[in-house]
Amino acid sequence: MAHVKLENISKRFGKVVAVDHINLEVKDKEFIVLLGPSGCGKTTTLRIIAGLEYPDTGRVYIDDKDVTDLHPSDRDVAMVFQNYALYPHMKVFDNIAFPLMLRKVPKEEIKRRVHEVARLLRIEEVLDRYPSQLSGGQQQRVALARAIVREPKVFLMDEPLSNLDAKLRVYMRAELKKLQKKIGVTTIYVTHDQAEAMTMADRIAIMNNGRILQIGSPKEVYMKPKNIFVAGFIGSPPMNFIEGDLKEEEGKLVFETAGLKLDLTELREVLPEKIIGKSVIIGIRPEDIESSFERKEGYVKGKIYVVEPLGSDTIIDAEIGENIIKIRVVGSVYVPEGNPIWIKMPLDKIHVFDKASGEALI
Amino acid sequence: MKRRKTLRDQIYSFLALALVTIFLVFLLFPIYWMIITSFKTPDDAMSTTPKFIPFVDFMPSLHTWIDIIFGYRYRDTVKALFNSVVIASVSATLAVALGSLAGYALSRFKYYKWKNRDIMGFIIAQRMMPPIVALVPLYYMFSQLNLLDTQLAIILIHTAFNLPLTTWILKDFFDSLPIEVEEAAMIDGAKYDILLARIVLPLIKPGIFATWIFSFILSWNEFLMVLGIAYNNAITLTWLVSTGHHVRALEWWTISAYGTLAIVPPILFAAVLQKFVVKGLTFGAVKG
Repeated sequence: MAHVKLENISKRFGKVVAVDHINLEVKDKEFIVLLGPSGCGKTTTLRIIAGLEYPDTGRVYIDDKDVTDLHPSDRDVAMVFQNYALYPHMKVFDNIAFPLMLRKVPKEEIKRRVHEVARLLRIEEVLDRYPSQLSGGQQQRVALARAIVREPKVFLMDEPLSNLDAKLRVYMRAELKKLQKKIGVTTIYVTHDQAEAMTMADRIAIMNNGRILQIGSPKEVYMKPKNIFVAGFIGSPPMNFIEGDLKEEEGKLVFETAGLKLDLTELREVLPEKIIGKSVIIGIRPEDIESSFERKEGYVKGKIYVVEPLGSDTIIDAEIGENIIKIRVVGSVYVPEGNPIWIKMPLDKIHVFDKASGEALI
Repeated sequence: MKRRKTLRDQIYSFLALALVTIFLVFLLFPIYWMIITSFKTPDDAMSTTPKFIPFVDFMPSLHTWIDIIFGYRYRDTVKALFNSVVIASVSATLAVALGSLAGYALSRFKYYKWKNRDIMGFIIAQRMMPPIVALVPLYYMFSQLNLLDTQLAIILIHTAFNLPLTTWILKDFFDSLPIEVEEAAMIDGAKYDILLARIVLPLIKPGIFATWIFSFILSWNEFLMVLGIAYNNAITLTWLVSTGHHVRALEWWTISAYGTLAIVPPILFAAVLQKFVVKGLTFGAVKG
């Protein structure tokens, strides 16, 4: 139905740069998630698209039409707010009907469409109530219904699930995704929860300090993070980072840090020449580390520091040299703390980052 | 679990009750005195031994009331009552209508050259001047406009005097509204006219009513400007109360009867106001 383009958008609040020269293209029917820590500028970006903030620089296009100077009411976007922002003095029916009424849709059709979305979101039985009489989950669905009923060009969602309890959140995550595919509206979704981003998005744009650091499919940003921030933000528990030096030793390329030495000769082809002899950070995800409680060839010895069983799998914190490394092991494992553990970091799963710039080298 | 009352608790509650009683007597006695005086004959009212209790100390008489309602004061009474109602309600309506627009603008828009705080300061500064300072210029102004002794003149003056207060009070109400609700309405397609009419004003309805009544009572009770501007056509009840000050003597019974008549509407409104002060309408608008 619509694609959205942000061109060189910036916004300052006093001395704080909230959004710093952002470019973003959202394709038609795409579900894109703006992901980042609080204060990274993701909500401001969304509000600029909605027209609630005016950018200091740059233009916003919806369907190739420059909407930068349009009032929010003229942009044909719908927004779901974090706190739902329902109209407290109107019944649920009128809440949902409000945008249609403003568009002078005939009464009969309003009735039909409101009931249709209410059925879709299973809030038919609360249409006669006031928002304050609803549960959090119902309020959230009313807010969604109000956005859907208009059939807008673009959906904007500002952390719509963050006020729900954990169970309902996981449930609504799947519902929302299904719904978006069903009605096929271009959606821009803001969240700080990487699980939401990974499960729902077609593409994720990871933001920090007002900039987009990487845009890609969930798989891409997980497998090939462009820099150390993205690598650390995506994944739970987060990627292990080990600082050390990359040097040439007896014809081999080794990574060395206190109490740990890794042979990276196989990676020489892919690593840029100029990085040799410099400080780097090695990253590896807890789930990519192979481990054993018995001595094994090619494995490094460490000491178990903490064991956190999660049921389906277990997180083991192991002390390797001076570093604590998190390892994810399938199944419930109960081993005493202080016991030895042997680990191996497969070279094809290792990420290498330039320490100075934080950029990924491979 | 209910705790048994100790002696100390009983003493405290007795003291509290005593204090409240003294306070209430202090507060209500003048009103009581005014009401009974309006039912006294001139002789009873002027008696050197105070007469407190009707039917015991004195025989109530409807003499004064008949005078002001049916008697020779009938015309003045009806005129003043009518003027008081018209002036107070029109000026309160104007003050609330203009004050809500000003208050909304000051609450939701940001002004740069003169900051919002400065503008708020200018507005309230008007109330810092003793009203009597304005009386002579206003008298001259309205005499030039041929508006002396008209209801319009007094309506304009009362509106101007009450506008700073209504602006300030209503701005506070607008401030308390969650901005997201307005933003949602804008995205839903509302411009400012619809936003105000359908969302913002209905949400602060209790505030609007309370401010209107407040403004009404201020106008109703205002005396100085009416005294300065009106002498026949535009007189109000407060003006009429003062006419009990007769050439011959102070007619306390007439003053009391008009006073009683003048306090009834504000008391009725105050009773209604209580209902509107109860908030909770915005509760549930936003979560978190």
